[in-house]
Amino acid sequence: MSRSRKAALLMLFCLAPCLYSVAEEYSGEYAVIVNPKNPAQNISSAQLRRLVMGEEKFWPGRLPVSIIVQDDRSVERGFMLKKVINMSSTDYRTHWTTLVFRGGAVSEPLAVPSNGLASGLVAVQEGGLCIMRTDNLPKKESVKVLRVDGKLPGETGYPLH
Amino acid sequence: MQQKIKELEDRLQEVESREHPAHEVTSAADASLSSDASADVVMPEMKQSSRPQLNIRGYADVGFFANQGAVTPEDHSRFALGQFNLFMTSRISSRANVLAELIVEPGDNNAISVDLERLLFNYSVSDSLNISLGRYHTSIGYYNTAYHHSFWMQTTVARPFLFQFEDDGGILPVHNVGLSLNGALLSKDLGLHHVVEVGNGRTSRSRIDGAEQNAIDENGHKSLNLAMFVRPERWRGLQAGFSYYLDRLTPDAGSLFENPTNPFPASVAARARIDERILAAHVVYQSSRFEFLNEAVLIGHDLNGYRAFYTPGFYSQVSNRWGQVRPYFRYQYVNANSYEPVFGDVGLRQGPSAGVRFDFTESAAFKIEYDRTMLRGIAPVNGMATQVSFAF
Repeated sequence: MSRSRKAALLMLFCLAPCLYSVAEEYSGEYAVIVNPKNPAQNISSAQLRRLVMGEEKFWPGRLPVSIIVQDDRSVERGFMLKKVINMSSTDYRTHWTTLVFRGGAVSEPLAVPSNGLASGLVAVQEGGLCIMRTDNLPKKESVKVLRVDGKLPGETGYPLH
Repeated sequence: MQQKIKELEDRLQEVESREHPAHEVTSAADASLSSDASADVVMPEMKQSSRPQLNIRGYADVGFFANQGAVTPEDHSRFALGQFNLFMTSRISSRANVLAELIVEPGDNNAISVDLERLLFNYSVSDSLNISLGRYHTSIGYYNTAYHHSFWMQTTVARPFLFQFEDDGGILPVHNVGLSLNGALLSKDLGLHHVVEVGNGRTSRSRIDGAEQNAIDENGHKSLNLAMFVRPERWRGLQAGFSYYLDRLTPDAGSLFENPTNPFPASVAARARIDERILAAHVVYQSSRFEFLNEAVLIGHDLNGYRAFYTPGFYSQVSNRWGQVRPYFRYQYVNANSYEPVFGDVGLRQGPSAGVRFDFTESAAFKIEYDRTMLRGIAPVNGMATQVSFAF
């Protein structure tokens, strides 16, 4: 790896905590974002749980799912564990270790240190999926926000808050 | 940090090359992510194409075992290396991957041997259909495909006798070489899954010769295993299912167990053809705290239509975790006819096991277990086992 690439990646990791929404109080809503080419428009809460748990691996149209999660320090990760799957962080890691060992997945979900990186990956992966604070969504339409149980963020009865 | 950077870089390259050729990525990324500082840094890394990467995890265990009334060297108190398991996966494309489980372990003669326990090429068509080709663990019951060769993952020190590996004297064909189809069916809420496996099956049961037919089949008859199970969304942690396994064994003349005072007719023993039928059912519940495993198996061996032998077996295991400590209890039972042509050395085995598992880190556990095994015609055997098992 060239020196400039090393420097760029080191800069990414140094900047990541600044870009990142670390463990601050957040009482707003969370969006489920996917790639704009993903044919899905709506998912149920149960389906979201199955996707995050790796129990459902394909979108409509047989598009393989790629889960992207923020790392352990993030409010998004905490929200996903508590509200979406009701698991501790340790249990979630154990679940994925077991799932991979049983042949149900090739590897654990990709954990990234910033929301920018997460939305960037969703933007370039057709099967990408990530849960993100609505106030951290990318400004350009590089990702698509899914309805959850028929509701979009901001609508009455939206479940992810 | 350097390692983390390298891992992230590799994963991004892998992901990107899977989804888009490099030239597309550059343009798409420029359009969508130019406002994001972190993404800008990453984008140059995505320009390179990547090749399949090998992910390796390890599992291993070391124990101390003691039996009351030792009669053979195997029964003396001893420290013992368990299995050193290198578990490997590699994604070849978004739908294809390879899985392998390589075991290094000592045998009864203390020599270290290497076994390729699983080697599968997997192709996922959809959630309803996954195709696997290679060597796999047969989907008979639950235990065999839940814990494979990781003693760290299972609660207890040892596997139930019913699901012991063939080279440890186990009575089920827990390994097979062939084709496996599996997937989810119908309603996702019910969590109905199917498994269809066609393979070489096993050969004569022997602790000396390998029972698994990795490259040569003793006959042209293929084994068939059909399994179904449900994991209802409503009762998460619950799984119930059954399987039905069919095969034909053609042991060499003279290799059958038989009653010396009432042997099989010469015409039967000389050209033995054993039709094997294995019916298994399970109901298990597992949460992060509570575990309740129940499995029953009935193995039928029909010898040339001359006589059929049936071997029933079951185990029931319960445990609950309090913090890092998980006490457990298991009762198991297997009852083979003393003159069963394949399992003549098994007989009746039943008894309880009780123990405690202590997870002193997230990836390492210490277990201590007491076993009492009651056998037909001889005194019960009491055993004490301790084990440290770990993932790395």
